[in-house]
Amino acid sequence: MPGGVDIAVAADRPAGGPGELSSSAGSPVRLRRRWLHNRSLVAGGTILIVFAIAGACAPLVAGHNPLAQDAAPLANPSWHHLLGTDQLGRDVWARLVYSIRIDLSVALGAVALPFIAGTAIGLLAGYFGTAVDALVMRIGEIVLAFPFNVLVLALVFVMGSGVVSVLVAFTVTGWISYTIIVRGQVLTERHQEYVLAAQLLGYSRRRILLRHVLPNVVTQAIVYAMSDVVLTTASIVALGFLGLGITPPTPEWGSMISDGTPFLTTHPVLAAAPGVAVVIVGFGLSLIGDGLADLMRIE
Amino acid sequence: MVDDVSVATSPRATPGNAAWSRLGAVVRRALQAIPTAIGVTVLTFLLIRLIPGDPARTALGPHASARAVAALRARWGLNQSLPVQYWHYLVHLAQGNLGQSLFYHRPATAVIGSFVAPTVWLIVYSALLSVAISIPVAAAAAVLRGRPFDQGVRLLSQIALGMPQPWLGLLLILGFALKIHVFPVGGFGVGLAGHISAMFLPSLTIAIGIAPILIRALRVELLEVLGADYVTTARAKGLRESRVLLRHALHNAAIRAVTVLGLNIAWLVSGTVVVELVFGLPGLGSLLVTSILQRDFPLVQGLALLFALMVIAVNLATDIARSVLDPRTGLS
Repeated sequence: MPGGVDIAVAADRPAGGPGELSSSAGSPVRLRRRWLHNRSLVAGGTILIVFAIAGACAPLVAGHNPLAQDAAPLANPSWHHLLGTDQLGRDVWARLVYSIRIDLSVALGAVALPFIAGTAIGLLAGYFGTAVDALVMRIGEIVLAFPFNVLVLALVFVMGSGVVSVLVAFTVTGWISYTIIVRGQVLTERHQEYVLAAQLLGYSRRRILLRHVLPNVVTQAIVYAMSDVVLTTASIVALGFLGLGITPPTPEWGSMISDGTPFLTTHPVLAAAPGVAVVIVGFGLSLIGDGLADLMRIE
Repeated sequence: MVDDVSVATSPRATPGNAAWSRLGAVVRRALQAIPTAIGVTVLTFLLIRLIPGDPARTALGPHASARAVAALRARWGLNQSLPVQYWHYLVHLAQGNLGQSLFYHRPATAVIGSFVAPTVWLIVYSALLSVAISIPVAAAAAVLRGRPFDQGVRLLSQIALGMPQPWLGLLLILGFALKIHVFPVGGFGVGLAGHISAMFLPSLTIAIGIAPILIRALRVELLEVLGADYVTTARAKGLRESRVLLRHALHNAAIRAVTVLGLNIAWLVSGTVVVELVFGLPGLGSLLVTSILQRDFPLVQGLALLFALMVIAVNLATDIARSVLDPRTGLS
């Protein structure tokens, strides 16, 4: 995740008490109705589903091969080329649609991996405490001292550009935010009666951590992940713009913006369109985040 | 001022004692930054050593002669053990020696020194702009809570958060430099007035990225403050609402703004990298990217270290500034 950015925002949200995921608030039907009545969640979900379907059915939606350089370069938008063509004669709309596949999946991966790693580390550090905890927090402080782009660029520099490097870089920089959130929650949960009861029953540590503690501490991390994914998507596009993320000729929003830059005055749509796509996706994701935060607060 | 009441935390504390204990806290907080700084040097030291294969060979390229590679290996001390190499690295650092740039053929410190000014300008300018945007917007949103303005701010914040920085920068260039010629397209500008004008759009790009986070935190803070007892007292004394807002609520909001800005300083500094490239600013961020593309290892290493130390220093300064502005909060 980019820097330590939204920790403050995530912390502003009231912490949920134990048992918030294992909701006792009624039947699955009522739960589903509450989800469907949450306007943010429905609107954000719709945006994201539309994008996901467009990405999945890209060959149908795009209408052209995103790599084919068979049209006149820098053509204006027309019925045949909805958003015109770029300087190499590639259909801009097709490239835009195909970019959904790579950008969305890399963004989700770049949030899921630090989420999993950070939650696991936070769980262990919070539960076992002492030396492990101190070491983890020290390493975290060092990671947080590096401005996000600097660390990501340095890591991409070490490993070379490409999807794998981007994912590793986001995991190395992002885990600490999740660890801080989860660790803090575990520290309070650790002494709750249900944990003590599980210990008295002789359950294994693994079972206590995964079956009892985890469901009660993961909510905050999920809410944070939703604001994280918005910034991560924008950052991946920025990396692509710098030429250090996903490598060409794979259609990708960031490199599309960068390719369109020289034609800003004559063909602004080349650089503008991919950015609009990113903003709409980001808006959808942050609506989902708000909706989830609301729901979890109620539950 | 209301906050002064809580300075004397214990009945025995005198103003002198309080000042001393605060100084002690500042020193302790400064000492806490040292292990982090050392950790940062370990990480930047390992940076070059983590590169697969022979870093000297990678740096010089496939066409370099074996002798040149061997000479560079010797100069970087790559033949020695890691602890010895690290010790030499630290000794050089203490002497202000970051090694020789492979591309510029000058000491890395000298190269970095000639790129510092635009980045420092950008950081300070965008921090000021983000506060200048956030405080009035958050104040208006808090006062007009739930009204269309408040909802509009919320909506715009959500949209702004998801904007890729290079794209936002390009839009601003298109709007304010190419369509209407208010600001230059790029560059650092000449003289103070030139800098202020040339750096406005790049700083605004960063400020727009960070303002949503500030506005969100400030709005929550202001809503809390506006419901606090001392504000009710101020209103009961017959103070006009504008005065209540300016004198009482905004003071606390400003402290909160400093804190949130401090928490996000790494993010702000991070933004300079992309923005410098978009606006063609000869700063540390564009130097970092070109050094990476040129595989100029000593420069990359030096820049990563400098950026991290900058963040540590600003974090420290923010903590101290906050504890001075608001004596209730201790130094953590």
